[in-house]
Amino acid sequence: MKMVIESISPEGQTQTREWKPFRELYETAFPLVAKFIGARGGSFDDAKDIFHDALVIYREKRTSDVIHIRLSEEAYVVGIAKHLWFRKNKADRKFITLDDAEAAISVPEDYFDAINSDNLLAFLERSGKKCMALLKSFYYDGSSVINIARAFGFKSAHSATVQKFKCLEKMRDEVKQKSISYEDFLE
Amino acid sequence: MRTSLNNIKRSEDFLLGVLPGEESALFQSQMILDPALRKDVAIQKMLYKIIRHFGRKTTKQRLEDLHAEIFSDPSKQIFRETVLSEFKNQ
Repeated sequence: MKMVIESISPEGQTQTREWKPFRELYETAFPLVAKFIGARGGSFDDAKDIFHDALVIYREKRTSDVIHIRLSEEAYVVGIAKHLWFRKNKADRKFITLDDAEAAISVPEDYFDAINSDNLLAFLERSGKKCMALLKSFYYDGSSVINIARAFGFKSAHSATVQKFKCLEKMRDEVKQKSISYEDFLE
Repeated sequence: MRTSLNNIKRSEDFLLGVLPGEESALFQSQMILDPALRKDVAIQKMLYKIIRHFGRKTTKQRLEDLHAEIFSDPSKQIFRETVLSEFKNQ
């Protein structure tokens, strides 16, 4: 059965949603993306790369509750993949029409930012694996503070939050110490 | 929380746009007067980007692993053939 994705209610109450795990989406949505890309001359690797990016973006949207339209999860992922394909093959854009729901889908503006952060990321990962994992849980995975406290073995939500700020401070000071050029990252 | 951590929290609230109007204006004027604070906030802003980058990288790695697993699983042969058939004319 196809699942309908509901947006958050105006009262701010999150409705219970059961998201499909990646494994399931992989099997249901990848063939659709492969069909779309294969029909337009794209390779298997193109399809795989675009599908992976589409899943990453889709997951971010799920996490941040910015999914407002009623589409099946598969249709949403395919919609993102189409946008990504057009980005890569601008000429194709005029031959394909998107329906309204697809046209309303957006790709995060910073997704393709060529920020040269790999070196800095590698450095920060080395210096603090646990901090990086903790910060990712808070800011990227959107996990609840209770779950984070449990997963990382903190006694309370408060201590997890305090640790989050400690980690940010530690990383900030490391960046300062290294005198890494941070200007590149600023808008 | 100690003062330095409260400052980090305040910078975070500012960057997320959740500081109330007056406090936000005050914070902005403090930044103008204090180059060190300005630099701290700029770095903190960059850190959020790096964390997002790390999150994306980790997720993609997970997907690569999943891909490898599914494409080598004998019970997924039909799925595999369906996908590959979309590229057979190339």
